[in-house]
Amino acid sequence: MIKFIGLIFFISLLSSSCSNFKLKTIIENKKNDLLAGESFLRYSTKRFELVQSRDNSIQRAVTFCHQGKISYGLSLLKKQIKKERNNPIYWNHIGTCHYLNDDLPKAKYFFNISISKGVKARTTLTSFSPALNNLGLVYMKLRAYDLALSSLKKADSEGTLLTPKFNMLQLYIKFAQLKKAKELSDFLYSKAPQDIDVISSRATIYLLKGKYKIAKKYYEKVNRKYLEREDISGQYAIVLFKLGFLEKAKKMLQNGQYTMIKPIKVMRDGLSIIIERKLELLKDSKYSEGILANKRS
Amino acid sequence: MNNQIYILTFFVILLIKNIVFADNNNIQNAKERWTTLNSLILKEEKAIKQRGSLGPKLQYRLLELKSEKIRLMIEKENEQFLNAKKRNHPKSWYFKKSKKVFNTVKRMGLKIISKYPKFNKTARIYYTLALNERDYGDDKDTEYYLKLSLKHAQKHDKIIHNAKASLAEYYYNNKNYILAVKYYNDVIKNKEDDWYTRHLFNQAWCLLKINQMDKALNNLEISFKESSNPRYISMREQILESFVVFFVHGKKIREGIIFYKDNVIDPTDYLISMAKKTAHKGLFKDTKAVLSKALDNAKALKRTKKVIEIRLNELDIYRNFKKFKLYFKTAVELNILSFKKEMTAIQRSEAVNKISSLVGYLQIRLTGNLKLNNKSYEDKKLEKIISYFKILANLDKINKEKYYYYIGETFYSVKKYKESATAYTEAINISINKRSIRDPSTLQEKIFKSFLSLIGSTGFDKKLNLKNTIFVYENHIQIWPVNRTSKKIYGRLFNLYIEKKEIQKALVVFNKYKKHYKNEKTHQKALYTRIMDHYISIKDSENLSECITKLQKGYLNFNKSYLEKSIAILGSLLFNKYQSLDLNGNKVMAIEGYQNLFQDKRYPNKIHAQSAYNAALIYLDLADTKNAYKWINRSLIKHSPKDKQYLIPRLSIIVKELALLQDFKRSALLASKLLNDFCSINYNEKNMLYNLTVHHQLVDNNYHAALINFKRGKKCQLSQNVIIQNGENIIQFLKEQRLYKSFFKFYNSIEKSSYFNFLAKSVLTSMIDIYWDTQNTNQIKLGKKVKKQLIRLSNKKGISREQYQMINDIKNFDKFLIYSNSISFEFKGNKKRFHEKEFNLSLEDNLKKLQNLSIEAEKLILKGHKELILGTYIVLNNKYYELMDKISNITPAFFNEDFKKGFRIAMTSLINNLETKAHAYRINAKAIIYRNDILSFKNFTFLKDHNFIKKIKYKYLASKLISTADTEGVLK
Repeated sequence: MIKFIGLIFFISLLSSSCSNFKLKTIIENKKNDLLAGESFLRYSTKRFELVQSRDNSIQRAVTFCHQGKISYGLSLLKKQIKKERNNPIYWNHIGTCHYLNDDLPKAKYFFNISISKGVKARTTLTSFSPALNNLGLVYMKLRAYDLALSSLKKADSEGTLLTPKFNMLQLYIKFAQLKKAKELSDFLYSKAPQDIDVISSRATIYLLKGKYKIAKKYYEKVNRKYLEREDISGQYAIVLFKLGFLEKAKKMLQNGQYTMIKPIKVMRDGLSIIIERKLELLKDSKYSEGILANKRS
Repeated sequence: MNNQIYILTFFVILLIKNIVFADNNNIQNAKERWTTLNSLILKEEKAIKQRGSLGPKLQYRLLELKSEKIRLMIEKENEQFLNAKKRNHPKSWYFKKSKKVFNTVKRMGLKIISKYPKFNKTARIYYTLALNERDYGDDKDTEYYLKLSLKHAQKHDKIIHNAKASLAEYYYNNKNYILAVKYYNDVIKNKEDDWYTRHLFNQAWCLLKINQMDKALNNLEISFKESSNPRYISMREQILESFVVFFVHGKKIREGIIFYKDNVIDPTDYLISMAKKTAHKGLFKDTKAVLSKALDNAKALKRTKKVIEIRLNELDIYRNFKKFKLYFKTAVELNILSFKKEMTAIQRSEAVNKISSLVGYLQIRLTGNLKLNNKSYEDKKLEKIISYFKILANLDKINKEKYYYYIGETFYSVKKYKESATAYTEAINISINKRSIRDPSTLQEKIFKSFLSLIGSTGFDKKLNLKNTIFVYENHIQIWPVNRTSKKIYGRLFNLYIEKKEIQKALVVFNKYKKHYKNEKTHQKALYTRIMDHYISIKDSENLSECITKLQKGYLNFNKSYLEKSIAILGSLLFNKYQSLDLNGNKVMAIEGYQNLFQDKRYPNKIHAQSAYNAALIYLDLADTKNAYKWINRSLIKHSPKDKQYLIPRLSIIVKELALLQDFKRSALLASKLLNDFCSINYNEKNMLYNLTVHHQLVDNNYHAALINFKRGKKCQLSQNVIIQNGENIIQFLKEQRLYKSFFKFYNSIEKSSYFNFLAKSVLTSMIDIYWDTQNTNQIKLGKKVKKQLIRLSNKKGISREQYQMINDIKNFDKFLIYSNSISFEFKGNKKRFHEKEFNLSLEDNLKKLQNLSIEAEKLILKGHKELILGTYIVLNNKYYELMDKISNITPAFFNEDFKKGFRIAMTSLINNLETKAHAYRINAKAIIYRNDILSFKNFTFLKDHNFIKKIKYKYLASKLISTADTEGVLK
């Protein structure tokens, strides 16, 4: 029976898409988090606990969603509906919980409510730009990238948040819009040169541009702990490979965190094979060179 | 023979005496005696007549017998006369026989006298004739015959005394008192006459008449004195009675009082009589003195009846003398005496009559003064009148209520309404206790009439005298449940009870009214409304509910709108408590309360429905959507269709609220239920509900349910625009979620519908997006299918020009691709040996191919669609590099190195040109990408190290790195 369950579990794991697995983008120190004041996405448990100790019930609720306690978070939010009905932030939080739960239709629904409430309220500049930003994320997940970009741009123009810029940066990198990506990266890097993802994104831009030396420079700024992150380690390995540091590249791939994310796995595996082949070639040529050298000598 | 006659005569006389003096009660004996006597007379007559010729003695005897016979005959005739039922004849007719005998006797007597002038009984004959004349005749000749009798009487004949006595009597009767006195003077000289006392008595009266009081009194005294002598007939009683007159006439009151006191054990009657006489004479003081004595005497002797009698006489006397204070005192005494059993019914009645008479008079005077002079009345007089009535009420207990009625009337007349009401109340109480209610008397009617009139008068404050008012109303309807006045009273009494908040009593009145007046529904409805209003005011939901239950069963035919309002009010009463709990935060208790109401069978369905609804709202408040939905459904079951329809706006809000509480499934279910229930009618929220049934199922990721709901649009006659809008939502959803199979299934289902033309645009846009998605995600097979559909659709109505153009562009791009793929760069002239000319021709040809391709490519680039542009550039770029590769790999065969070198330089130059062109295309592409913010994976094609990126299947996982914005901006 246990074997049967185990088999089912294994099959379900195999059949699940990459979307079910998340990157461990948690940042322990808020100093390294450009978006510390805007997004809970990269919060560590300790940082969540600090927030949860404060007396802001809807904020607390959304932190539970971020910690995977979606039902609990939503139930806490439900109870606040009377008080927070006209608060766009409230609806944004509900949308966020659904988004984190991968329930995109519901997420979209509530983000739209937040936006409409924000339009009505117009109390602060950031009254609905978070929702616009988050709606952009929904579109990204739905692969409606044009809509995503439009939403992020609107979020960026309507408020003073950095998060929409950050997200647009990711989007631009994804579609190799490197010039625009660089513009955003320059801005964000100036704001938080110690943010891991900001550094990593910047490095990726240079990687895609083919400027591997510069890319390497940026990867070296990343804290060692984060360097081993699945995506970063893979990208860094590319850079190292391209710069001829085959062994380092190989080591980087080996030391990188194990990943269940298929695209990363495929890329790393692919790169790994190339590195191996190259190393072998080098070995052969060195061997040949060695023999020649020996012969000459 | 003569002895027999005498014996017979004796018996006859004896019998006559017995008959005459027979006890009236002994009628049978009297009849026997009459018969016997008559028989004896006849026998004697017969005996005398048998003797043949009769001498004067016997003739005289016959005369006497006949005279006796006349008496007997008159007796009989009198009896006949009195017993005659119909007196068709004059009185004389009945006495004609005796009259005949009388005349006979008269003739006989005169005949005897004329025939026997010296007869020694002539005086007696004349005496007999005189008596007959007196007793049976006209009395005209009585004096004549008596005088003749005296004339013919012999000396010392007893007949002289008799004749004188009769003559004195005759003169007395004929008021010839002087002559009477004269003759009585002679008569009374004969003290042997056992009628001596009688003669004295008679003479006394004559003397009184001629104002010889002293002599008259003297006579009476003597007669009184001699009456005790057994020789004489006793005139005691008559004298005692007569003395009253004599003393009064003689103004010897004091003497009279003394006389009576001395000579009679109980002189009360005589004193009373005397008092009457003195009163009649106007001698009040004397009268009072006499009565006082009489009273003392009666009291001393404990003769209560007599005391009463005296008091009664006092009333007359005091009234006559207008001594009203004394009158009142006497009345009070009588009142006290009335409690003693000695007062007879007659005395009581007499007292009542007398006092009533006075009171009536006083009453009239009292009110008369008021009316005439507008003066105020004297309180004391009023008090007296009231006291009299109370006395009467006590004396005449049977009619007690009458007197209280009169008291009421009296107070009313002087506008003392409160007191009047009290009196009327008393009267009614008495009358009710006496009679059964089913037998109301006329007096009762009068009392009620007066009482009601009193209540209706302006000076009577109903509220101050509420008790009385209610009393009269209650009793009126009790006695006369159906009556013109009662009909009005029901409503008034009812209203009084309502004002006093005595609802049970009001209800009793109401029920009576309803029972007896079944057709007064309009009025009764108005009254019943007040009961219900009262229950509402005191928040008595239980009783109000009972009322409503009745109304629902058709009680009093209340209209629906009133019923509805009442139920609504009941609802608010019932719910008040729970609403408070809810507002105070005790939501669980409030829910419990509503649920209990829902279960409670006492209440109508509407209350159940409302209770369930309210419970649902609280659940909603508590964000418990499951229970909220459950209780909404329970509420809907209980609601009437009309109420449900009325609730639609609020339920629509609940539908939205459920969604806001993230329960999209239940939100859609509720919207669906409402839509279903009211499918065929129009209402404001219909479109919205329809939209939500579809949208919320989509949000809940339940496409199939959304589709079922979508199809309901046509069935429920929703407008085409609304249906189309929802169709577009479904299309959008399926495209977004990449449920392409369902997308095409849906597309197929609507393709033949009437509104497909309106949806064609949306379908096409989505299909185009899907097509490009398939291209970006390498879903070649699906891409082909989609393209096939797009091409087929391009001929359909409803698509826009742009869309048509887009499809054409896709087709053209395909053609371009085919064209591009068909281009292969072949170089001739270098197989075994390099032929320059041939090579140059083929080079030119290839360059031309590339040029043509470029021309075609530019056409496509001008279309403007990002994917087309990039795709075209990529094809172009590839083709350029394909040619460049091919050229760079050409080494002229069999030529020397110099030629080869020169060839390479030439080709390099060409390649550089081609490179420049290709680079220019890449720059253009990049510029277009940048300018238009194109997000396409094709962008990678223009990267420097594109091949390597492609080789390692590099993918930037932006979706893993993007960040939510959710800290509200306050945390740092």
